[in-house]
Amino acid sequence: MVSMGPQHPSTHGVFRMNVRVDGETIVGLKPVMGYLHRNHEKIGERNTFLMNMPFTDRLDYLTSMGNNFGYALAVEQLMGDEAKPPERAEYIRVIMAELTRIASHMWSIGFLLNDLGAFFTPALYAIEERELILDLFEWASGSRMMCNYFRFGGVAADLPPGWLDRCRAIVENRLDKKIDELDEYLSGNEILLDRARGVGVLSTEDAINFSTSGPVLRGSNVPYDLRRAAPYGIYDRFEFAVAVGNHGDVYDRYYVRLMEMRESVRILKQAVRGIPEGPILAGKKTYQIKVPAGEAYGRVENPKGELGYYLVSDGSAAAYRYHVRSPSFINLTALERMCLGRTIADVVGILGSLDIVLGEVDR
Amino acid sequence: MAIGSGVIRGHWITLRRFLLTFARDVRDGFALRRRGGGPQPLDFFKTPTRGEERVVVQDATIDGLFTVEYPDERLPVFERFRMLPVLIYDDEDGNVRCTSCNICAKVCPPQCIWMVQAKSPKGTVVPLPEDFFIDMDVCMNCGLCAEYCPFDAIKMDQNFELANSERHRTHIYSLQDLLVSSAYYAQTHPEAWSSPEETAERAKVAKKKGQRLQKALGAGRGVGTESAPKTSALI
Repeated sequence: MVSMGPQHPSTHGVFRMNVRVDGETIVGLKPVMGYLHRNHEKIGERNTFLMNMPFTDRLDYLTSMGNNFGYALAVEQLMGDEAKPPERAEYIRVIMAELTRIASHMWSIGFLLNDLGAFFTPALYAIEERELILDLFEWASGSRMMCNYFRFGGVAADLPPGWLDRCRAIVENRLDKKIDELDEYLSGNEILLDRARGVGVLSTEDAINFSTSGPVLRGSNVPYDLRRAAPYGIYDRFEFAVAVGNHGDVYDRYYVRLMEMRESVRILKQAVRGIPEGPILAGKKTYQIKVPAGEAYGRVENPKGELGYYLVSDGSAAAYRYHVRSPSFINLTALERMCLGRTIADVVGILGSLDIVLGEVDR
Repeated sequence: MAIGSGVIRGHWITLRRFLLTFARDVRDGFALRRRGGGPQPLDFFKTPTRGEERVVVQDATIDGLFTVEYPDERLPVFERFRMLPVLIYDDEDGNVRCTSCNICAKVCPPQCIWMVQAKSPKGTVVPLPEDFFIDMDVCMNCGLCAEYCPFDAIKMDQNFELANSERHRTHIYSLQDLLVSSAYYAQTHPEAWSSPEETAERAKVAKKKGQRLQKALGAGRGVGTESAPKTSALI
């Protein structure tokens, strides 16, 4: 038995694995997660609905716009038509969510290569694009990572003057080229192929049975994407393909993310061309939000998979019950199946290919 | 495993990037000197004066890796960039805008704001803060307090250089530490300050606050917005 980790940049002390080995071969693996204990769900029941919005930023801190989106959808389900976002807000939400997907996948691919031993060059190339996207987030929302930008019935503020022009410049002229460069740089690299092909295989059946989602599920050849399967916001208006892999190995999960970034750019191009003028919030801005009694499950296709918020309201100012279905946590349950029969060295790459963030694993 | 064309292609991309960034640095005059340094080509020891550091902007057209040599260089600060809340007082009359209505404390997610409401000599409530506290280490910089303040009194500051060696006294900001002038806010947030929404809000709020002050202190004493009592912090 070997206690392994933390070794991934995002595990920093709150995740390790108890690995049973026979020589170098893995015969058993138990993820040990914890020690963050932020009580996110309990705090969500103490806070009013609005006050919980900035807390959702801190779940998967690389995808705060997406986290906001899911939570806003859950509360809007309870509030009904009164909180239906105006057109412009719907477009802004999609733009922000897709920019988040690109930023998160860039980070994920960069650090997967870091895990596979490429040290920092691919990560730095990927982070460069992410920084430009974070600039856009900071410009619009006031913060690079903890955006707190969505509100029930819209978004907190309109896009500042010049924002869309810069976003268009990045989306139309830059991201495609950079994704191509990353593809050319990494996808055919023999060292990457050797470390990733046939490693950490998760069969289609296993991927479904473990309830995995996002690139982990799609890498195992299941074309399930919430933006298609249960469209939310205005996703049904955009043309894009659902990227899938064939073998369910580390390489497929990497490549699905790369293809998803291309599809996100496709959606972004349509969204920045079609965004209308108009209001960005339904009704008047108020901190006293009346949420009727009932229950709701709001879910989004976050970069790491299905992020769901289950809410029960008793009509009071705060949620009676608040639960988060976080993709990182659920994808981790399939880790042992992927690692069995592989070596210790492969575990690092397999964990990297899951793209976890511990903020939403141990909530 | 054979090293083949994939690895060679990867190396070519790395080399191309190096050459591109090097050419850019030569073109911009940064090939032989520290970018945040002094005016001479090899001026390694000079640092720019505080407040006059070069602002580095990486826009969508710039290619290659980019290192900002903080603190000799800085990234641009976007207007909406938010750190800690501040309380605004108006330059014209020196009045604190805050009426101690407690809404900021109510919407604050980590509950890091608390205040003491001012009292008149008669002991009645006056719409001004006697004191106002924010625990900056608890603040999560979300900006909800500023967003929902009905009196336009609390705003998010952009100063992010807050390092300190002591937490329990210096990190609990009181009214004295939090007050900034409306001129300061106008300078850091020019777009918001001149926006029609904020201009209208200022006029509305000044009127509303004047009425509340008059009511609290007694109309018979002739106390209006202009002669409203100033907090000790401003005297």
